[in-house]
Amino acid sequence: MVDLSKPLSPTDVDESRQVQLGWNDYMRAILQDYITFFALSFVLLLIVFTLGADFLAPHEPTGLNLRDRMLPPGSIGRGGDFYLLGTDELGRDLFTRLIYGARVSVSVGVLGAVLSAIVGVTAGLMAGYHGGLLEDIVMRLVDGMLSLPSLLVALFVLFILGGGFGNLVLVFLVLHWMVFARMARGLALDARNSAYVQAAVSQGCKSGRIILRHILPNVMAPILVLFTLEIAVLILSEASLSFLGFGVQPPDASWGLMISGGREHIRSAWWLVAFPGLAIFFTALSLNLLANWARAITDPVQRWRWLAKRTKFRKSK
Amino acid sequence: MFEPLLSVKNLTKSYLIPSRGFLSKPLKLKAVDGVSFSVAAGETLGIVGESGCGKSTLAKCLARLVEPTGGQVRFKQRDFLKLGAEDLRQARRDIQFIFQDPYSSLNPHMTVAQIISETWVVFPDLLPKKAWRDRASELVQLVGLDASDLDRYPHQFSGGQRQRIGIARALASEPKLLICDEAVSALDVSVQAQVVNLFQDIQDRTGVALIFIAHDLTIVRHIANRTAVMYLGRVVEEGPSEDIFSNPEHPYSKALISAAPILDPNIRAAREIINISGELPSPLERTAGCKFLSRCWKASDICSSLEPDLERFASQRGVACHHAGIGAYRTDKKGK
Amino acid sequence: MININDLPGYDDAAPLLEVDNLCVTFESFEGEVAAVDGVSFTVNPGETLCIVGESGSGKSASQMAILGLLSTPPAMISGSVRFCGIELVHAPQSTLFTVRGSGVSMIFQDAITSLNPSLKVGFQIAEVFCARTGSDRANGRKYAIELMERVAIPDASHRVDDYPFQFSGGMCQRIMIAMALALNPKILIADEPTTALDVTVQRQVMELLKSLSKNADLALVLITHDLGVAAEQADKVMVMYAGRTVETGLTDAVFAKPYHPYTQALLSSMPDVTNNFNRLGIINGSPPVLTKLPEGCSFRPRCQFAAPMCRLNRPQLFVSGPSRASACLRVNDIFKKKSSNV
Repeated sequence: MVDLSKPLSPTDVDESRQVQLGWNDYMRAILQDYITFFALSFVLLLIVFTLGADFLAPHEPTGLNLRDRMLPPGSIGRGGDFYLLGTDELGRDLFTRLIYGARVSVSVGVLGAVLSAIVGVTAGLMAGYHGGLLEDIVMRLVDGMLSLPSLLVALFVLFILGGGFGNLVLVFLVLHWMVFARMARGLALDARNSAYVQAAVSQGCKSGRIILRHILPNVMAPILVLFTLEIAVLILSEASLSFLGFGVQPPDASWGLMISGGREHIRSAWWLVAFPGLAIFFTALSLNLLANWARAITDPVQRWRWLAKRTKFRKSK
Repeated sequence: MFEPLLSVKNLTKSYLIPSRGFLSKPLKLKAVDGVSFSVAAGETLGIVGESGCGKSTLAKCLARLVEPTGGQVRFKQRDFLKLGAEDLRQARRDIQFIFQDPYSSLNPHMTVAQIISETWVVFPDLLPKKAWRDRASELVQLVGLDASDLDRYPHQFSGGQRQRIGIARALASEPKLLICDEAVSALDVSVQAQVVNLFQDIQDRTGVALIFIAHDLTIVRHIANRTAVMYLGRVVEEGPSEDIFSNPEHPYSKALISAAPILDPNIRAAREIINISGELPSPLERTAGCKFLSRCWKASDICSSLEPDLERFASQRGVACHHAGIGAYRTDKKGK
Repeated sequence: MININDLPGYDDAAPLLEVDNLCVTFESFEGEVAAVDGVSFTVNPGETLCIVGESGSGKSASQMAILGLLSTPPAMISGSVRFCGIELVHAPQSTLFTVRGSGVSMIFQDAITSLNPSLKVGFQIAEVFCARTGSDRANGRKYAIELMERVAIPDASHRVDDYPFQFSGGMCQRIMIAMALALNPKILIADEPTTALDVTVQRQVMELLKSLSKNADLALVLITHDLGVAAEQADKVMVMYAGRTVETGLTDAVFAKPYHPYTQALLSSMPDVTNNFNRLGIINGSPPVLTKLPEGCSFRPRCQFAAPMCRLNRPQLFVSGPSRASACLRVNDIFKKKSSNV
């Protein structure tokens, strides 16, 4: 063992050059960025509703209440109940159903995206890193499945299996893992040639460890952005499928289902279609804006620019 | 028989480039074209050459980061190229690599401690886990950083410091051979000096052998015991550094060494600059004969028909030129 | 098309380029960063000045400021830059347009990335020429061939229609030089022109610049960190550290006997023919952090000769010999002692 009691080169220690930005700076920056602030708030609101639907909803989402049917927004029902957004053709409070619908949409979207991401990213990273036959097989599978008309396939599969939450998530997994796989494979190809991965190889790392410990953390940023966008895509898909009757089944609440049910009353009771539609629109919009912001925040240069525009300079002493 | 630490024979690395035309055969690009040399334990071998000479590819082949297409490499008396995946992985403990770009050779998501300890995670029998922190601390101090740097991330360091972290990482497994691929080229002059000194100190302390690849001739001259000059994938001259730099024999070596800028005006006045015309020919061209033919002022008939081999002379000198003969040290042979 | 002679302030008798107390400051999170902090120098026709420094010394920023290439909201420029008497700092765009190219020209470090990969080389060379003189494409192409021959690109008449990717690094640098010479400037500023090139190619490019300078009475300002290149090419040298000039003078004199500890340390850190296998001289510490410069002399923390007075006063550049200036307060003590053994 070499005697390492004395350091070799008499150089001074360099101070950390990084400016440490704290939470306060980020909070302040978000508050000044109105668009991101709106998007973040909306998404947080959705999450709150998803988790606390049972506590926050004023009424029951299911159950008939024919006395109070088709009431416009802001009306007070026969029994003195206040209906913020009106009632539907069966007398159910629209606001309540929106909240429960949010729970369904968000859960399906997030769960579907998470599962697709796990499967897709794993397949993509392994294909990109190992190359050869594995890459060929995976990528041809991706190409093939991407060529399928996803809506028709979804309808067909759901027709056979029946609708419902679980089947929806399954269909989404099968039809959406490819996007992640393609992106992950490209990222792995890039990372494979980078010096720090080669350094890991030269240190004797096995490929599994390299993919998990070295490549994955460094490619998370674009995957995260894609993930956010995919949630929006899945929420829209779920709305479409439920609208067509293949997704969530009545009497459960789902935004798409609510639009479908309110379609025939669009002239007399506009609120039945408008509010679910707006909910879908704002959800997808917020997620897209959030994805935009996530893209900026994960790239060091753009993050700096975003912060610099919104925080005041601090003069040094 | 005494065998050197590393012995390379006829190493080749070729790439197949798809050629123009739908059905024509792909062209062969010989990045490394039959290189042979050896490195003894504790020795420093310098490899110089310009872009396209294949020195970086050679470096990667030696570490098997890229698989050579031919030749033989013997490391620690074992056939290095024939090692299977697991044996190769184990053998990697003894050959470590220092990369050129300090900004991309460290994983940005790992702390310095994690970067250095990676070797011990991969080879648990090297060091018990409870000793990791202390040993990592010793290593960073060895390379001139502070123990408190262990918990910092690479982006908090400058280029020279990152390169030191890379060196500490390479030393973690106590290797016998360090391959430094342009390890100081991306650093400022004053920082280069610090890192070069560090390499020399480490060599003194640990007896590790170095293969130092660079395009800066003065640094190679300073640090290397022996130097090899490469051109288009081949070694054209090889020998003790001082000999090569003061008395180059091969025309390319002469031109290369004379082209380096010199600070001292007196020495500069005494030097003869040799300007070689033309450009580096494409490595795809398969010409018979010497590869340097198109730019050589000494060329004669034999040069276009027969490619010169690296002939070895006394005092371990080797030159691959038909015109460097037994009179390699004849004093009446001038620069032109 | 305005002629340079018609610009306000043009004075035949004034020095070709005169920079006086140029300061370039950037706003950042930690406050103002003085990338260039009071730099002054003069360039005469046919002269070659080399600006030497490491990263962060401000050498590139100072030259970009001369040509007005820094966008002024993040950068704040003060001081004076006069080209033949014409003031360039805060000059109107029309003045800058006229001076750029035909008065002062600049080439950059990595030639391959400075060329537009999707335009033919001949087009790029002749572009500014055609725009300024109103020539048509055919004339422009002829002129491009002339320029390419002037910079010794073989087979110019055919290669004028090639794209940048078909040229090697050294050739691309020559193309950049051809572009820079298109309007016959009086000064050529070259920012690390040979750093990305091989040694033999570097030699060729430097010989080319030297011959152009002699033949056309072209003044050269070379920015480099390579002291060897500076020693071989430059008449005068200016050493920069942390945005300030620390030493200037005739090249051979400065390198033979430096009058500033930084210059001396830089020289000793270069491997030398006589110094094999010993340790290279190092400069203690690490490169300066521009947001946290020390008080007084900015080299003080790393200087082996630092004294208490070095902390109190920020040294100015003052004359320390014939055609020499140094910004070291202890020049006389350290470098000019008869029995110095430093």
